[in-house]
Amino acid sequence: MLLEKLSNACGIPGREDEVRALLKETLKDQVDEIWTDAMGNLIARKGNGPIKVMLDAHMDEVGFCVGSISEEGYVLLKKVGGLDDRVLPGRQVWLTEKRIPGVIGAKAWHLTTADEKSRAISFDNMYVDIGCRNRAEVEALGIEPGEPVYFASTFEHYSDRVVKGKAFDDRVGCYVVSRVLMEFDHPGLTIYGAFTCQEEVGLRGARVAAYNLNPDLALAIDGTASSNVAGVEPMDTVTNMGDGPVLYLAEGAILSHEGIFNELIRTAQDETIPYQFKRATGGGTDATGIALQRGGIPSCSLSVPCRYIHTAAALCNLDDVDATVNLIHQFLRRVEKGDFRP
Amino acid sequence: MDLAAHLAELTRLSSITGRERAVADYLLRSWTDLVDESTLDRLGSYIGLKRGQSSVTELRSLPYPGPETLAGRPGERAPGPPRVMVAAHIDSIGGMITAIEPGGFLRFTTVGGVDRRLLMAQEVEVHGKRLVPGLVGSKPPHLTGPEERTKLQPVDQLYIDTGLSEEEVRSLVAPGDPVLPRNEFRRLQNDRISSRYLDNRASQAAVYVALQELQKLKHEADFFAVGTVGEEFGGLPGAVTSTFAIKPDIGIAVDVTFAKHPGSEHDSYPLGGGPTIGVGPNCTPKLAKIMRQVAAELGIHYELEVMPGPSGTDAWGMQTVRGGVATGILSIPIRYMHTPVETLDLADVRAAGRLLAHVVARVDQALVEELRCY
Amino acid sequence: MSGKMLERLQRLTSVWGPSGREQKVAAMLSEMIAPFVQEVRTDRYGNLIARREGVAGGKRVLLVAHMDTPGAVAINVSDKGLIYLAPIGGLKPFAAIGQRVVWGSGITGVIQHEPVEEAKEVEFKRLFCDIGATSREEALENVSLGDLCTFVTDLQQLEDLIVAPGLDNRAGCAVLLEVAEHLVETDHEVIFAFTCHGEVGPRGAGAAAYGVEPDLAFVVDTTPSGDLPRAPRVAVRLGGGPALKLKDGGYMAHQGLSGIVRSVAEAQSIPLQIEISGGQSEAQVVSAAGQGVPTAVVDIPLRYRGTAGEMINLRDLYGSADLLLKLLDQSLTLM
Repeated sequence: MLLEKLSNACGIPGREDEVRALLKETLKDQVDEIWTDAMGNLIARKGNGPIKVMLDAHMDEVGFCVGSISEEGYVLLKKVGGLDDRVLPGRQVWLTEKRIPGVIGAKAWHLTTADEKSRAISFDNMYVDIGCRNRAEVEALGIEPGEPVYFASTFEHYSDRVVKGKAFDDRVGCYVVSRVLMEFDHPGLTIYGAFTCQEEVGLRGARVAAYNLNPDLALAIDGTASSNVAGVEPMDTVTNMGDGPVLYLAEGAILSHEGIFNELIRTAQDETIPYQFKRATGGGTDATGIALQRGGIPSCSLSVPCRYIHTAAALCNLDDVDATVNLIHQFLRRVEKGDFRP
Repeated sequence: MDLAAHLAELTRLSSITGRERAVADYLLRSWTDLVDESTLDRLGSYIGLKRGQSSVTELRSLPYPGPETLAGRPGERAPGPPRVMVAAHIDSIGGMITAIEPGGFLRFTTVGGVDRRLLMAQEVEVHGKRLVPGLVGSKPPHLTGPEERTKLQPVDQLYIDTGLSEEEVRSLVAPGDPVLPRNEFRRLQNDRISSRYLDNRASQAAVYVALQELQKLKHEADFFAVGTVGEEFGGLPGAVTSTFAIKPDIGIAVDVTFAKHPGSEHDSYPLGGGPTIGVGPNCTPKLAKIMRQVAAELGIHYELEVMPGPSGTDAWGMQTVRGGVATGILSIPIRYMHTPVETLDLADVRAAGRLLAHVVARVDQALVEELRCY
Repeated sequence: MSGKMLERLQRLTSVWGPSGREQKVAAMLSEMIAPFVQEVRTDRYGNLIARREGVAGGKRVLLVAHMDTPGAVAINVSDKGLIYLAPIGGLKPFAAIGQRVVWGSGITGVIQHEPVEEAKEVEFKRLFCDIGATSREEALENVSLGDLCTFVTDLQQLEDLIVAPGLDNRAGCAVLLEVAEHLVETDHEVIFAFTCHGEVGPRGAGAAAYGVEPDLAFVVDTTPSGDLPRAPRVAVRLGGGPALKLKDGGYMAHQGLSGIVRSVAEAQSIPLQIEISGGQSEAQVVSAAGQGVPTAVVDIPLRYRGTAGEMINLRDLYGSADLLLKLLDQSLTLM
């Protein structure tokens, strides 16, 4: 399954090569044209219609890179993207594209002081042990400052419809956009699947892609946080995994394009596709970066709700994924028929 | 001109963010023989063009008139030789006068990341109608409680004492006038220099070295040496707008980085150990690789500088301009950054300049295509 | 100068338009500026662009004023029908408590805060809007999640002083209208941009400047006045005339253009205050647009920013318009 391959592929911001290669291989025979731009965004064009639509999903994931190597052969990390220190100790990681296995160690519980027991381990005190005995052994493996480090989690099905894996933010978006490109024809449109770089460090690839493509409208498809879990009041869950695609009321303080936002809601209602609102305003997606390009590009975010994103392993409900694919397809049909113009 | 003398001239000039004209004018004058053409752009950034060997590019053709419908496909670029832009920001941190108090005492605010720990009793110069020297004063110690003495005073409680009468001060100084730390350019042992504003005049010195080296080299690419305004404060307006106008294929930011000294071990690099080459999302991997190859061939020692997010350099702005630019970062280690006694090793400046020149000479059409090929 | 400033302020402060929902403001401004310009259009971002033709040899000058106000967005509804909010733009929870607000649909309500022991416990996520609904369902019939509200408008005049919500930056819009009306002869092509999303980011002005490609720009906005108890040490006061911004949290004044502003004010005996402030202004995104736009900011001093009782002095508005008109008489050549 493509989502499995995408989740298992590795790509920190600026080093999205594996994900890009996988998508290129998957899509090259299914689309009319495929290319990479100066920043490394992968663009897949399908159709040649008069209305240009950009479907954005970012390829990169949060992770680490090698900061330095100690004389004793430990590897010190730097975070790439936003990660909570508490979810890191005790995780297994892969170093470099060669996937050299390592572990993020932690001092034995027995040896910690009472004070240390009650506090989260600080990132400054974490390191990766790959079994080497000194710096030279580490360097001999091709590990040097800047090389990528990933969570070593493997995709699996918890049930028929609920899957676990790393990097669902935003491989689930890459999966949704790939499916829209592969499963449907919209001859009235030029659809650009834009698989972008460096979202996690500032929505950077999407801006460049949007400038280049200059679409009439854009949707940014992402994975977003859900908290419908034990102990959280229904009003505080932000989004609910299993309740359908997520529309953003506001990202940070920025509003989605009103016309697209309303049309997505109408489409969902008319086609009885479930949808929900993100009931918080933090964070931002590629849509905020796209919206400001050139003289402004009408753009809107649509997300798949996932639990535990920005950790080693997240959960995702495939019903939400299917509903998102369907909602995009139905929305594109309306654009194609001329029922809707931004 | 001798490199140290060039650097001494550059650090003598006032160039706080927003008031960079003195450095820009100096570059116009002192680099004339090294470039084919030069100008200041609309925001005041210096742009010098050294043409590729068969190039007919002219600065008056900026902003780059390329078609706006390019979809960023490989091979989609306008004719003409490849363009390499090097950005070395010409602004500096400093202060700005906000008000004149009774008695002629001057209130001020900081511009950019000034180290507030060093302000008390610092010698400064106010660039008003003429240069007015002064001292940063604060509430005297015998009126300061023991607890207060361990704390830093907020900048708006500090003032500058020029020793002049209020009338004289008002005739010489107005709100908005720049304030600079007042310091002598010093040559230390072993070809090391200490001065104010080595961040970022050291990088202009490196570009100067590169331009001299390029006189001796053949290069196909057009080389744009840019002194950008506005790096220390705000959204990198100088880097973004000059990149927009030039539309380079490759953009390299030259800046300073932290050199090791007691208390600064992590994320710091040896003074005299050569420049650093950036790695991270802001540095196009293939370009970083080429920079490393060229350094190895020239026998220039370098360190890798890991930049996991925003690089804090002009390259962060350059990378996402228009349809994207392949970017690299070359940094010169300095000690005591953002203090009036920044310290560097001239060998690092020379090495950075040489490396830069040879990277430029390496750039041809094929390499540019290769950089876009992921 | 005409006496139309007050009338314009009355109209402009009465129209609903929080960040992202500026269409009604744009429609009103479009109608108000049409008699004075050759072309009015809306760009893709939603900015209203009005163009007055110039003659050969003149420059293309962009005048910018954002037209949005802060507001709040409905993000949750409780079982009891109380609407929970998130801020849009710089709305502070203290400024909202006890205020009457109006939603886009015209429905009104009052904003209150969950009971707290201490003032420091006040936070935006515990604010709610009561529209008189008795259940979640009833509330959602009148206000959908994602709808926006702003303060109910109410303009009062105290001699030269005007008090109303949203004077930041409808006052700036009024100044641009005044300039458009009185601009008789100028060589310059003058483009008036009433921008979106000025309270968030700011954002719209960047897109406007990118599309217009001006030679230089003046941003007209408001700035907090410093003539108040325990205000930060800034020199700007109400009634002291327009303020020229030298620096804020993300912008350093363009030296050449601000020099021209200072010398014109001096030559024309227009009182000019000097402003150095925090925060961010549209000048940051305008100056970095495209190949770069030399930009100056002319600010109107304002008290109690972001509250339902913002206060300005009419004389500062006339002073700002006067200054801009005199500037447009100049050749505006930058060295």
